[in-house]
Amino acid sequence: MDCNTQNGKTPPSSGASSDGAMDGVMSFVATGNASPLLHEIKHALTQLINDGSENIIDLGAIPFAPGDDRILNDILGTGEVHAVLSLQGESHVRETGVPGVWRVDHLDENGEQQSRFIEITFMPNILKTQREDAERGLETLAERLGTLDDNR
Amino acid sequence: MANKPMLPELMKTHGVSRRAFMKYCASLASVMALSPAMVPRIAEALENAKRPSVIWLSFQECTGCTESITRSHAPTIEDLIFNAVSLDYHHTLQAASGHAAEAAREQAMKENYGEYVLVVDGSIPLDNPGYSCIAGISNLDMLKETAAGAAAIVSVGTCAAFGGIAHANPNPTGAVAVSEIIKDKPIINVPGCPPIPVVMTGVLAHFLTFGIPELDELGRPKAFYGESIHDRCYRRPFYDKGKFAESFDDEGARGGWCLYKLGCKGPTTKSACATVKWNNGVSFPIEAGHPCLGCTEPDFWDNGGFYKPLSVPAGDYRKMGLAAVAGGAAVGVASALLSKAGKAKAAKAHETVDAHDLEK
Amino acid sequence: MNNPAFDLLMWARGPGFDIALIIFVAGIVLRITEIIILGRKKDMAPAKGSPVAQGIKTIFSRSFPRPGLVKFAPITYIGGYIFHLGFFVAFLFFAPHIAIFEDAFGISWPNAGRVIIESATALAVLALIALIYSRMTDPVRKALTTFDDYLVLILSALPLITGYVAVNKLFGDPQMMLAIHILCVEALMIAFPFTKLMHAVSFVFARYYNGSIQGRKGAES
Repeated sequence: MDCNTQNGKTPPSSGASSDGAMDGVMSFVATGNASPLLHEIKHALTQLINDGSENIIDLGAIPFAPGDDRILNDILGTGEVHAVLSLQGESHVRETGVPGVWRVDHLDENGEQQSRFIEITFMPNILKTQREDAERGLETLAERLGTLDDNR
Repeated sequence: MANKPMLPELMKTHGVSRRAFMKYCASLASVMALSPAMVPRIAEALENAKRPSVIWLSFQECTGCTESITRSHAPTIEDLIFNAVSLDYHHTLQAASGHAAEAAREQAMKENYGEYVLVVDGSIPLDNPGYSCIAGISNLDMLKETAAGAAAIVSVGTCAAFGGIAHANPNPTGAVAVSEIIKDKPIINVPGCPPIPVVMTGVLAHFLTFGIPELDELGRPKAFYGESIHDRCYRRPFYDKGKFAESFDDEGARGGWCLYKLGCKGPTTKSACATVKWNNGVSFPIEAGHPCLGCTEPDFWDNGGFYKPLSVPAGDYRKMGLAAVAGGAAVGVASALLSKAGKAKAAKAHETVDAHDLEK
Repeated sequence: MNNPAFDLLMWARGPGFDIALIIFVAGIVLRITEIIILGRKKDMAPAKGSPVAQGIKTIFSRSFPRPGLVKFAPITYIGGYIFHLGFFVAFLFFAPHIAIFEDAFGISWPNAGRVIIESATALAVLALIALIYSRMTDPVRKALTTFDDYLVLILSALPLITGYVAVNKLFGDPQMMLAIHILCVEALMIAFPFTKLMHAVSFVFARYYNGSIQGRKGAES
């Protein structure tokens, strides 16, 4: 399934899809939720442009089959940005082919899918440095500079 | 002990960035079926949560629940959450044993009286306290004593929540659930044999941040036990079209068809297996080709057999049916012969018949 | 702790079904045995035709109404057909029901999809409503109606309605609604040998007897 390789998820070794043919079939199993979701995204993007308000949609909250994923990927496409974060497992932040619509996919340490979001924003929050991390970074930098100066 | 390092300190010690923490809160919100808008609240609540003392009592159990929760994956923030609670007593995980362990439990209870969380797995035998004792104290006594000072009780696994396998026919030890003994404390039931790890940690996380989650009529958190397997099953289209696997490994089974005829209890079972799945979302029993056992429901061991479809009668009806045929035939012959004899007698006596006789 | 709905479901699937099955089977076998043994009055006149051949023919020919009768009592005939056909489709071609036969006798046959089953159920229930309405409004039939007639109509409707509700989870706890459905079926089974529901079995005998009487006389039936 193309959505699996996009998210870096390894295909399950057990389960009904024991051959590639089943994967091909499964990618057409759809719930019909792709279209309303895409309309919601369009609405959110309009809001973002008009007044800057951001929206996050949790893909785990609605029944979503591989067929719906296929439709979503076909419509949104791939964009210019792909950031890979190492946060207790990988996280992939991708801007889709529709700027302003981002996919945020969290994986755990085993490479298994943890959660998936669609963010309609100018910049996903998780890409920004968190204040507390910067404060800790300052401490670390001060420490290291201290060591550097000592060793001169 | 309890009320020591809060989560931010722990994260710093383990080198976990706040960004990673945000990722965890986002995933946790998704798993708890909360809106992404709640993520900042979850983060704030988790950061500021006091570190409660947790006492974990294991009674008549197989340790599967402990295994499920603690061993499913590499150390993650869920583990950190577990470290964020002060696990003051746990048979399998603690280093101490014997008197030292019991002393630790008693001290934790005294220091945190009224505030600690009591987690129980395993059922409690009522027939004879001797069936299950720890350090000479019967399960029943230990439960009552420890529950007295608990803020809330979490019954993990179907054994603690509903009685489980020990409670199944003929229940030789008189095993009962926690809720049948403790009536005056809030109890959260997290059933499953075992429960999904992330459901367990999700419930704990919810409890730490927002208190007791919304519970259904069996005391199970609605966030994880609100939907039946059947309503979320990916094989549902096959059920609707009438495509069923007739036996294991037949064409239908290999085609991923519905497992109703193989005994799947999905329609009457409420659990998160079909959406949250197991092993971090890899699969769940039906996806692996085995019908659902219904393990989050009370008395699932006695539901007629794992491989008997829900619609099929569960008893030994074939014998009854044959007995009924024989009995019916016998009585029928007897009654018919009696009637014939009566008819012959009536004919001999030249009895008359009128319309009213026919209506009898 | 026990889920009361689960206990009810297991009772319905266990002792409840056993009781219902015994009464159902024993009752039917008893009455059929009586019918056969009691037999009929011997006809001493010489036979003009074949009773057996005509008797068997009548068993099938009576499945189609005589010309003119449908116009005479359209609701009874059309409603009756729709109800019986809908009931049989919903009962015999729904996979969970076929599973019961498979468990009991080892035989199975192809099942129909949910759309067909649900349409059949809905049509059957509508037909029953029409039948009970016509029975209550037509003065002649109302005068002839007894408790047995109303009881049988309601007992036939309940499994259809409760089955539909249980499968579609329209309301109520799923285990409870399934239990209620099975209990309604068991009520039908228990009432079967004591009411006019016996026609489901005795129609074969009734039609054969009528046909053979005429056949013996050399007439068609």
